[in-house]
Amino acid sequence: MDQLVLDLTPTPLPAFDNFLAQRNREVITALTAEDGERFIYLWGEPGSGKTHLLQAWIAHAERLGRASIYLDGQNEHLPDFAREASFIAVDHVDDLAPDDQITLFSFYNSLKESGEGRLLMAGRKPPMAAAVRDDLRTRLGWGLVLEVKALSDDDKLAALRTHAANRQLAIADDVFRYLLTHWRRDLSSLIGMLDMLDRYSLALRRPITVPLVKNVLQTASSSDT
Amino acid sequence: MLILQAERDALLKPLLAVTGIVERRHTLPILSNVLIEKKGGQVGFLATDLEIQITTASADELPGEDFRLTTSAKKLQDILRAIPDKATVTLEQLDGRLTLKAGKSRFNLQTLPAEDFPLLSVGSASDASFTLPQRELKRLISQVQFAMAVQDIRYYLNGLLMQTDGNQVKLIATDGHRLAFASADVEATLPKAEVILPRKTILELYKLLQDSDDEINIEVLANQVRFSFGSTVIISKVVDGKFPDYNRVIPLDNDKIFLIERLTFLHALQRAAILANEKFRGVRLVLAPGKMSILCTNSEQEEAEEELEIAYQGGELEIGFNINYLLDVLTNLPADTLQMAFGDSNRSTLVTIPDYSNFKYIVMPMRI
Repeated sequence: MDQLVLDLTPTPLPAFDNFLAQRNREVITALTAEDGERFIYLWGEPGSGKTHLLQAWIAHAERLGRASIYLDGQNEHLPDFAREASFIAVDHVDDLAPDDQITLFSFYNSLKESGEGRLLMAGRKPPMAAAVRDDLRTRLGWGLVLEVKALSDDDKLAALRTHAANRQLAIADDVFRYLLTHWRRDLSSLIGMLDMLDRYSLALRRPITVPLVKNVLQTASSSDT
Repeated sequence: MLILQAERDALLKPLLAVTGIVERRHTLPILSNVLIEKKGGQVGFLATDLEIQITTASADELPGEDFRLTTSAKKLQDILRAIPDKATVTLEQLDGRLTLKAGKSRFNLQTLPAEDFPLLSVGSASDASFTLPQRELKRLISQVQFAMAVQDIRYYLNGLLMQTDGNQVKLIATDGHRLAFASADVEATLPKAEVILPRKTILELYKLLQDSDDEINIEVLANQVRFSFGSTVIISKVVDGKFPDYNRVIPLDNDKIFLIERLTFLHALQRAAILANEKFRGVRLVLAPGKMSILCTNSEQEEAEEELEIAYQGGELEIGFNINYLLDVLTNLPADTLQMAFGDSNRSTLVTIPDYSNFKYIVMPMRI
């Protein structure tokens, strides 16, 4: 029997200030600029933080009181009503189904014509290499194109430490290093694993140590396969 | 030189009030000592572990010289305990040694200079200060303290949250598996303040509180809290950390609700617990209209089953718990009847007292 735990620490919502900005200051400046470019395309390898940035941008829009919508090309169709929002974020552009590519193309055009609203898109590849329709591919490149640079190991360690500190977890540094060398290397997987360790240690009343991590990683990778 | 003469209990009682916090082993040897100070007729006792400091004074005026010294708290306590209770004790001090005599017994103890004894510097003026009868505070603490965590890596769980707001004082404790909330009205208008009191402070305070209407004064200082009652003063540092917003874990839409007699439920659980698994302590509750079954099995495949008639007409539910978490609340709940509100087998259950909003207990189930 497994003890379930109270959800005491809410997962922090993606925001610009919990994004590691050193290497990507330019991106954040572009996204938060008041009268900046209305069409932005972000690209970068998986785990570099594009989704985080898109969601932080949506939260930013909500604070400004603007209607906003986050759409994920990976697991949903783009609904037509989305064009009514003034801040539209479309994640995982490379995974859009052919129909949705047409929808996105038409979002682009209607925003362009109306002269209002903003569109933020993200994908794995630079515009010219993006696996989408030709007409959409050119549109990706027409606005501002920015690369989201991947985090270095030190950045990741710092992000893990900050995340643990925010959750008020006392964890020794060797745990973070172990995670970095033994678990998936993208930050969202690493942070997700830290959250899992948090719940696990709370349920079992055990401190988060390397032996505990080994245990959890084994279970996690065997349930993956 | 004779410095003090007193009946055993005049020294032992105040000594015991302060020595509870003295750690057996400490990097600073003087911390295993107690500071004894005589000024005028009053003999004061003080002990600290650098987190908590307790001072108290002898009840009666005692004859003898003024002095200040520190000596082993544990040894002095053991000696005083071992001598007959009406015996007269004399203390003599000579060349840094303390001699204790009682009848034909004689003990020669080491001392350390009182000037070297570390005292907590007391924080600045209080934001929030209020008074409660000791009995009331003791009752409040008893309703929540069992839910505090023990040595958790989340320091903020190893203690008890005390919130003041308006005329209310709230105490909240959680170990992540369950959460207990108790509140009381006070005759004061308090600012909004919250502090996390360390587990050790709470346990010590609870031990020292009397079941009387005598008052205790509680002051929230900067990073400290001061409790003053009778001649005893406890100053405690607070836990550095942010306590989670407990309101978000209180379930509001649990719809499987019934009232039950506390003792009936408690006794049935106590019987079933005999055959609960020693490690996991699991119990299964099975709800059906009109009845609740309580089932425990252990690793040897032994089984206990209890059935209670309940005034319940909702849907069926099978849900598992750590039986200790239910026993804890049923033992400490200040009422004869309680209300159970279940959601489903993966969500928290709410235990409350009908028509009484000053107590809440939220417990997470075990996955069966």
